[in-house]
Amino acid sequence: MSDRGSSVIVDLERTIAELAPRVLRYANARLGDPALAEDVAQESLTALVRACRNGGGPHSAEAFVFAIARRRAGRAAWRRRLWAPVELASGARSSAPSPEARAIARDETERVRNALAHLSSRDREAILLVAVGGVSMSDAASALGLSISAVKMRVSRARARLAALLEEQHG
Amino acid sequence: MDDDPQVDERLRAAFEPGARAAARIAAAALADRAVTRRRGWLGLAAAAATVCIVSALVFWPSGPIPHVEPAALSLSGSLTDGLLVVSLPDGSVAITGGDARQDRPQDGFGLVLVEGELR
Repeated sequence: MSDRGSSVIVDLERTIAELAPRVLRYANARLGDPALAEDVAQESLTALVRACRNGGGPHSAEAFVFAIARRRAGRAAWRRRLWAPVELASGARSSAPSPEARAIARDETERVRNALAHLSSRDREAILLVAVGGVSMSDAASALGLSISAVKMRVSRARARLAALLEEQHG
Repeated sequence: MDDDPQVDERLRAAFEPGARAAARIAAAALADRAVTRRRGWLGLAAAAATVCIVSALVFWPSGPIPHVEPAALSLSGSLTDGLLVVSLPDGSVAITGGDARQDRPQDGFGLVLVEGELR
């Protein structure tokens, strides 16, 4: 294991505390369902804790956690699509936020979500990792399996497009 | 690169999680607690239903065809003047032959000549 991996174990609590809001924010943006986002974020952080305690601390905790979060969010989104009709029929979506909370957050969140929906899935994934998750370019490249320059290009393109879309909506 | 801090800021603000939620998942992860499946019952119900349906489809058509075992029964009687007289297990006597091709009660044992003649 690398020195950096050892430091992850030593500072595990601090690392988890620092990553938790970021990975939760990322999962929330990906899924739009706070309860599901919490599940995904917790699973990703738990995987890091287990890896560190089993002596297999990753080279970069950030890349490790976000790579897992990305995969699990993808699976969760698929599962949700499959289950949505059943849940709707059975009224099982009790973990959704309250109507008041939704109303307060709806406007801006919906505007941003609509703008994100206009991006290509590749660009959206890159900007969510970097801007929402606060992941460095190199770690985002590692999580996405791309070169750093490719990630920079996608993020740059996504930012420009989002800025234009949000401006349009505002005007 | 075209950095636009305003866009990043808006994205972060739109999906900002509550501090309590972040602290909760951090604590749960450090405690190595498994995620509580909020939709677990749906999965279990679907799995149970699938198992039932698949079992029914697989085992029901491939089950053995029910058949009746032939009775291990031997009878003895006598043939006299073209009449067959047989003592039955319930203690009665059945007589067939001639014009009477069968001798059987509504219930219980009896005798039926299906084919041919008695000699």
